[in-house]
Amino acid sequence: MGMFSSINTASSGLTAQRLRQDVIADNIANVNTTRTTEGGPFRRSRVVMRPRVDQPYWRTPFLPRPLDHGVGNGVRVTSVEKDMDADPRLVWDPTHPDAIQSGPNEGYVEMPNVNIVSEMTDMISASRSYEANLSVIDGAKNMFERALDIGR
Amino acid sequence: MNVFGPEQAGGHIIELHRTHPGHLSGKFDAAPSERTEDFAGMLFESLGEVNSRQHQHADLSVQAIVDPDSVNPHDVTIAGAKAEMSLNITKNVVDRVIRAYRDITTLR
Repeated sequence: MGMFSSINTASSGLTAQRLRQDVIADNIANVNTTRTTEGGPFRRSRVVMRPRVDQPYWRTPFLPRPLDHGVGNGVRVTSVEKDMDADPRLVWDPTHPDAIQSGPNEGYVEMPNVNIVSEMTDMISASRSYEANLSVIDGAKNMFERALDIGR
Repeated sequence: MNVFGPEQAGGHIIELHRTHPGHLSGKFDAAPSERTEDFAGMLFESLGEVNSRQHQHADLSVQAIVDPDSVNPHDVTIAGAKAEMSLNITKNVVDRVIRAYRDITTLR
């Protein structure tokens, strides 16, 4: 636990929340994209985060205490994954250049599975997390400065 | 990683140092290559750290101006805050050391 460990942890949180905001911006910008390079409509992306540790630590009561390394070091984004679970939304538009030409869904266009309302809510949540991390840094800096006042 | 060198094995007596706090029974010894310097050495080393932090802050600021897309804004401000905090603590430590020295030399 060094002097700046809480600031480093909060800074990793800030970076992760900014990356999450970037992903949300990409999702919102592509809300009407029907054609992608890999084929099919655009799929929304999601960010997967993991805690950042030097050595693994566990939070179960069954493992012995010496294997638990105490406080962690922040967060890390491991991957940005596409949400392939939901079926694409079908919209009737036979004049669209990307309309399905044959089969049971003839005349429908596959639209991305991006829900703008939930993306906006995610963005507000990312913003609030960013502000919370900023106040962690403020608190740490205040503690530091008060400590330097001892004995003055 | 220093597993163990020839100076630790003498005959049938092998000295093992538990340097990892996660090893059993809690108590652990410091690594055999622990530096023991005097205060002046430690002070100069921490001044080197302060200097490197100031340089990091200056480099990040220049990069933020030259290529704003490549750097996170919070990284720039946090580097500045860290540089200022390191300098403050060094200033404080040096002040107190000098004050203590002065108190002792003006002891009448």
